[in-house]
Amino acid sequence: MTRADSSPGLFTPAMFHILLVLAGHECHGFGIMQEVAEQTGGQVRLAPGTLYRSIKQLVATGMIVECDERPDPALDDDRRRYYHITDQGRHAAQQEAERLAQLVQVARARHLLPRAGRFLLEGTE
Amino acid sequence: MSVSNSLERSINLSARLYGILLIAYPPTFRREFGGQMVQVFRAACRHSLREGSRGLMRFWLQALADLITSAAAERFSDWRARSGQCRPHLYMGALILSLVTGYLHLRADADVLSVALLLGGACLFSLAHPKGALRFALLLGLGIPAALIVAHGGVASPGPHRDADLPLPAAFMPALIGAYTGVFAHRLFPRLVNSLRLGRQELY
Repeated sequence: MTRADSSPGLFTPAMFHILLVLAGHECHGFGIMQEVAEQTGGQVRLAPGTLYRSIKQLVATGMIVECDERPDPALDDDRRRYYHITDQGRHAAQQEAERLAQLVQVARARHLLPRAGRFLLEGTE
Repeated sequence: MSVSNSLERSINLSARLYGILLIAYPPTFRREFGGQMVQVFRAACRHSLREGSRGLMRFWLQALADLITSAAAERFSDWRARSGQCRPHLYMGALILSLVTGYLHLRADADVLSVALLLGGACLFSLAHPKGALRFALLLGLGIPAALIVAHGGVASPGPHRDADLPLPAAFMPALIGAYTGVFAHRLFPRLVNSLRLGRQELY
């Protein structure tokens, strides 16, 4: 967590997962928790403490902001707070995704992962 | 009582208990996010109950482990923010000086040297970081008692000339005097301290 304090371009896995969810749409805390679990096939489950600590740091570094308007006030609990990603947050998430993609390329080159094409073919069989 | 009622009661009880446990977090964090955390916890409890009471238990364990680690981390960052810069290198320096003083006290007949080191060291560390004056004094003052305890505990044998000739408060007194002399000097000559700091920054 301390890495985020020193540089806005670096963050923890929890913060990156939150940014990935918010890159798609505005969301509230429980929604973020559920989407992170879905995106990772249940491997990453954010508990409330880590979730709101990460949110606090993302807000402090200007990567996300709290929304003034909720998507559909009539259908929603008015106590919920929605968050959305800023340009700075999107840029930081993009950089992190590129860094991870480069790592995946290295892993492929070292035969630690199947080639992208082979992976797709295996998936369709 | 119906099953849904008992489930609702267990969710309410869980949320209330979790709300109490949030006291582990710093007050500012609790004020900002406490309500939302309980709300999310309640929703997650309801969700986990789809897997039955075992699912709720699993979620509780996960939430408790998370509460302990994240509250500790939040308390630490809160303390760090409140006390300005943490400056761990200064505390490390004070610890090393404390060990050296303890060793000198045991191995050499050098009470004057030990006292001078405590006095001068505490003064310099407090001059550099006045907010940590008391901590520096305690850290430095602990060196000699700790060395005596280790020596008399059989880990190391004291030198033949070393008896309990320096009473324990005597080890803390020079450290305390030195530390608060440093704080006083920092207040008295802030310009001098700043110019020293600027000079050091220019060196780098």
